[in-house]
Amino acid sequence: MKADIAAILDRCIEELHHGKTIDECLAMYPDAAADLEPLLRAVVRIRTAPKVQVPDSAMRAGKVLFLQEAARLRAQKQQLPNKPWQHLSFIASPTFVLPRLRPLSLAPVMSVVLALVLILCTATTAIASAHSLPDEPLYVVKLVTEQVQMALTSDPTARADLALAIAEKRLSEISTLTRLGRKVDASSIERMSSNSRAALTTIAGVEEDAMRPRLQRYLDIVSQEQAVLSQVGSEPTIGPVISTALAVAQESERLAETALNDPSVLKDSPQRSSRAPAAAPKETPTPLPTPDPRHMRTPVPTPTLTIPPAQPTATSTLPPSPTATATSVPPTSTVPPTPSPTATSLPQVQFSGIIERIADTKWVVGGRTVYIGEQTIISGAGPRPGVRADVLAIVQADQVLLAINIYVYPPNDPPKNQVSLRGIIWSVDASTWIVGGQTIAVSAATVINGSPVPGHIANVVGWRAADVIAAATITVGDLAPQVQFEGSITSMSDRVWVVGGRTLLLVSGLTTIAGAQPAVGARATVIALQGDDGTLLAYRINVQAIVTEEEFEGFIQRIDENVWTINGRRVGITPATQVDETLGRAQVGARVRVRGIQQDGRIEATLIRVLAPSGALPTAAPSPTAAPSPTATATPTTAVPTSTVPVPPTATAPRTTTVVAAPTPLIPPTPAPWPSVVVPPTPQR
Amino acid sequence: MQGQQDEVELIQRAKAYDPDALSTIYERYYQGIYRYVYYRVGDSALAEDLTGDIFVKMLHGIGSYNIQGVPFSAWLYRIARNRIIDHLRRQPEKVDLSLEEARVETIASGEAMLENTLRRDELLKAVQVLTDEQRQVIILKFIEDLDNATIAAILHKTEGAVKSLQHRALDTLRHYLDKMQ
Repeated sequence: MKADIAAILDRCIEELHHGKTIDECLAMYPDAAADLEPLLRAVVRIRTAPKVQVPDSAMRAGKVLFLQEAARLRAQKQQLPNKPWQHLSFIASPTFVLPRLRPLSLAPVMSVVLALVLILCTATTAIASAHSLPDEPLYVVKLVTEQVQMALTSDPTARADLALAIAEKRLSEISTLTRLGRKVDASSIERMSSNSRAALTTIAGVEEDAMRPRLQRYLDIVSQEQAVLSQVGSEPTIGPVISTALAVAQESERLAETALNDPSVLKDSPQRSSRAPAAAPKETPTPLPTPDPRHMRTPVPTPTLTIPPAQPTATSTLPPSPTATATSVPPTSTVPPTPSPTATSLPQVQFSGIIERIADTKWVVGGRTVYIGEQTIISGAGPRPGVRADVLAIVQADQVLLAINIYVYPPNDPPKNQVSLRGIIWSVDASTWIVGGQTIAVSAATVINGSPVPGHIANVVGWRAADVIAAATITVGDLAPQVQFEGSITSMSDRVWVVGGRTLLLVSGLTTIAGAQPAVGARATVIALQGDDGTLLAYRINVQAIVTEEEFEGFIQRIDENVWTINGRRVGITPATQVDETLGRAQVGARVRVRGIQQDGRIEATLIRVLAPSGALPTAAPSPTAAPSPTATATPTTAVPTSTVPVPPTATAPRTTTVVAAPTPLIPPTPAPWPSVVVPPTPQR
Repeated sequence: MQGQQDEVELIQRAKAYDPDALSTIYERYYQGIYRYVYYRVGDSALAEDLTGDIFVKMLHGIGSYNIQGVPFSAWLYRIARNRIIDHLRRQPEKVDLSLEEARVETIASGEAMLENTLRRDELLKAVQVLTDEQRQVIILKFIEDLDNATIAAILHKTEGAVKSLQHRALDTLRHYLDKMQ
């Protein structure tokens, strides 16, 4: 019965889960009742403990980032289809039949266009054009193909989906051009803005229940559009167009947000019919699109950060500085916030500082983190690290700052703390790189040339803010020069080793250590990357084994914090040491079997298994021939054979072995009653 | 069966990065994954960061997720498990469980008043006396209500091994809880 206790316990837990009481469960297994009862009471206590709740604000903020990443991947997927011939699907599809044309009442002009496209779009051309960019010859074919697809699609929902896909393509094209460092002209930006706006118009035509997911997709697009526009730059020739496109995007975004809660707003929108999706005139940033008062932000719940709408006074507290040139800036007064009764009850804070980091919904300005919500007003120049910004934010109860209004100053004067750096990339993640030991903040506004790979050389240009460099540009070059050598390890710390007389820096994520357990005295083969200043970063280290694994049995004579004395030998106890107290408590007098690693005459235990509790004769230990319990499946099969006669303390000869990282139990534990309330004082993993 | 079919359709849409499907997945699993992370790292801010990271990794991997293989929940928890291991590997020091609770919402239901009911901080402390695998079994089984098969899939173990871990964990916990009283 004892051997089945784990299975019986599990059955009882299931019964409890299905409504049985503890007493009813115990009655089912009277022989095991004494063992089961305390365990089942523990189950009930754990199950009834209140669950941890994640703060809503964190969940929502995380969701925004999650969906933005999804949108990026979706766009990427559409840009790089697995089957190129799918681009021809519009020709082969059932929609490409004449009966479908009739309801559309295709104008003769459109028919001509269609005919032209059919002639032009040979398979090769269509495939090639699908990947073309605005500055490439086949791009016009791509645009015409899209127009034909739109003309052939009559179902409102399908039209909306197609329009959204086209808007995503425009976005992707500008993004690609920017990433490749190619010029983005005004017409490309206008086309992106126009197609984006057209997508919103088509969404207005779908049924209300199908509208919501499309609006969310649209919001992803328009959000990325703003990010892309801020990266394009502000050359005099396109600056006004960018400003206009940004204003259009912001207004469209607000409209779509409102429509999420009230689709009728979109249906009634004059922009559906009269507001042309075309961008504003090229030469002047004004007139900016004037938002329809009905589409102004309203204090409706949003799926992201719950930022109360700003008060009317909010924008007036942040006047542009006299040095700011607001010529190409959409004035904040064009989007006056709606008064919110809730906002008045929350404290506000206003501060200025350099933008150190831009990570979607989370910015760092002047060393303070502020969250950006859907209703945050961002005005002034395109936000980018290194430029100054004024922030007005509300302070939530948990001290989280939610931005109401951010005014970004134009980067007329490059900050004085501009720096450039060349070094080896130590590590890369979404928002932070380590280059040459220096932390680099990377944001959506950072221009990255090349593929970020640890070990490669990077040139970084950015602005120093406290201990971090906010990167404006990072150019990744080749793998750093490599040096190979072999020698003895003479010194080791967490991050610095000395091998063969050379000092090596170990970098998490870059350094790979293979072979045996590293130890001073062991020999190692090293491949290192050499920085310009001669610094050696460990890239590959292969350690040759010198350690020995040893086992012995004996009695615990003394227990100190990290060292136990067993049979006169000092045994090191580490966080990795597993103490198996199944058969008794590990205390002075207990008989134990020790498995450990011998180094420099000292043994470091990986496993200490109690064979007999304190006071018991050694012969009282369970027979080594006892059959393992069914619970043995819980442990790896690398156990010492249970048929082994208990080994005298000195009988086991040390043997050279490769040290394993995780200790494994010698013998599968059999359930044993605990002699008393015991919380093992020793660390376990 | 219908639920399974819905889940399959949901995952297929998510594979195409359908925002609606991904939103559903996010909302369905976020709390569970967060709690799984929180009870293992003991820090709410860190748990938020890691949970966000886990969902992004899920996005990057969902294209290769095999619907015929392990259940989606098990697959997602595996990502979480690997992410935590990766994090802990870089943080050799044991997490200080001094129980920062500032950012964890309080349930004002008089939770501490109930006799024999563990407070949230007590539970967090209690699971720290377990081995990592035992802790995972307790969290997944009794906090996340997953079944043995799913837990086994997450931990790459047999169901028998899960039961055994569960038994040992409860044995340790009941001694710990007795001592705490």
